Amino acid sequence: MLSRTADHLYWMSRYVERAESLARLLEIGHRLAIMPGEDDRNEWSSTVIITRCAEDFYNSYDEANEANVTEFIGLRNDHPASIPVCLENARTNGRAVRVALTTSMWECLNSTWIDLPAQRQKAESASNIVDYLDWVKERSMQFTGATTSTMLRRDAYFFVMIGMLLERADNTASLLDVKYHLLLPDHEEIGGTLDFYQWSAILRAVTANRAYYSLYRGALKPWQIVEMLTLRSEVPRSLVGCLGGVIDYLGRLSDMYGERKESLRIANALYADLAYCRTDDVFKQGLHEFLTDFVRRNNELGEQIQRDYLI
Amino acid sequence: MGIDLVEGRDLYVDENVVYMRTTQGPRRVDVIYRRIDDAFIDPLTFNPDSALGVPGLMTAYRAGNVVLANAVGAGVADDKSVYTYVPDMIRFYLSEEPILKNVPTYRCSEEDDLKYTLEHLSELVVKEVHGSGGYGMLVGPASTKAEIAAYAERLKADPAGFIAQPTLALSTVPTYVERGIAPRHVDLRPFVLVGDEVRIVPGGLTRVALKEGSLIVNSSQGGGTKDTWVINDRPDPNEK
Repeated sequence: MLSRTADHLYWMSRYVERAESLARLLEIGHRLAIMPGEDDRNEWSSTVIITRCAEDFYNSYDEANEANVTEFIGLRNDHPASIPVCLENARTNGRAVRVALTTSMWECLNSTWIDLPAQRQKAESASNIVDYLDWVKERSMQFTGATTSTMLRRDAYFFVMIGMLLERADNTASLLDVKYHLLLPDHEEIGGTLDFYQWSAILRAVTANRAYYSLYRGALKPWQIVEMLTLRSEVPRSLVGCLGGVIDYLGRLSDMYGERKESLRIANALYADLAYCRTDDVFKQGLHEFLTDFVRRNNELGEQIQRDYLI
Repeated sequence: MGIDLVEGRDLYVDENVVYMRTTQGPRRVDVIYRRIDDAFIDPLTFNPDSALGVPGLMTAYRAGNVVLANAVGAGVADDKSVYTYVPDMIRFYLSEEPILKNVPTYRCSEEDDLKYTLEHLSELVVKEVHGSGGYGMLVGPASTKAEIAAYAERLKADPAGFIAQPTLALSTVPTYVERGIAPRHVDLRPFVLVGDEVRIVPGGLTRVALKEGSLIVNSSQGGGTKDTWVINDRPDPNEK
């Protein structure tokens, strides 16, 4: 397969996944914003930090508030942390390799792109923003569904899945890190009401609240939420869950090509560290440090995959 | 056909050998069927601003490490007046009679042919010798008197730039258009691979003129393509 083809496939699914994740991130902000509380809250500025485009943001806006952040992520199209930009990039990448996609995949990407302007316009009124975010998530899930149910299990499919899972792992780490940047006001206790709401919003944003109750039963406990989204392999958006998929597909690629590359070694090392990590270790290291370290290694893995296969 | 469709950036030249970048590492390329004009094919040899080409391709070609089809400079064979000499070429080089007859073609550079063409413009198709893509041509039976008169002036100004042929009756096939199914003109391009033996590619390119009554099937002018079915009356030896 041409490296360029694989590169387009890989980025196509990364962008679809990123659009979904940005929608989930905005959803956390909106959930937190409707919670009762004081004026000194900062859910919107933490949202901006997580996009990694804070500089772009503060070039255009003075203040991180609901209206500005929603516009920035949901509607604008002049920076990389924008949902419309991600959906457009996904479609552009897919279009370049249309014959490598199934009709269902292409139709999904293309009709998403066609419907985008109308959806975006609707979302300009604040009351519709949740519908818009639901639409983005739905389109992404339809794309994943089309991919897994129609694509031949060969190298093209492996590249699509590797891109999707790497991006998803990165996004889960970022979403969890929201909690680090969400400072609790002085008079709020750790384990207090606001703390509880914040954790609960994160759980809901990754659609894992039911999963939580079936894994842990009982009330929400922050360390269990962290454990679940990082170290539990049954959870499809957990770090270890995503990396398990990545090593699986990289392994199948190696079998198909008859050659083991450096990226497979790096991926296995990262997976093993997660698989044998204890929840205590995460907190000993510090959640933020643990997540930052993971994101860095996940990025390095992405770069190595790029060098091994995509250029 | 199992042939990769590549862009310039998918290829690179190392030690005068052309390689393709694949997920399994570099793969050597022996033959390139190229669709890029000579001037853009290698920025080191021709237009240095070309971002479409492959730097070093011409050096690899000169070293005999890659075959370009069509070869650089082969555009001269695209000159439509060359077509009129093909039967003579066959007789000269092969001492054989052509099996397929040419479409009768008038070389407007010759006085008699020009005279005939000018007198019969309303029946003929006239083409520029350097033209392609269905541009700059006159389809006599489908043109108005004013269009024919204007074309006659161009023809008289530069007779050597034109050839003329009788208007062929193209077949039509049922085609799905805006208002349902309607007849549209088609032509068929077969592809012939000539090496140690001559092979006809199973299938071909069927081009269809999507405008009602039009004989211009070129994709650059709104023509489309159709699936081509080859009906075998003998079993295919490749099929088990």
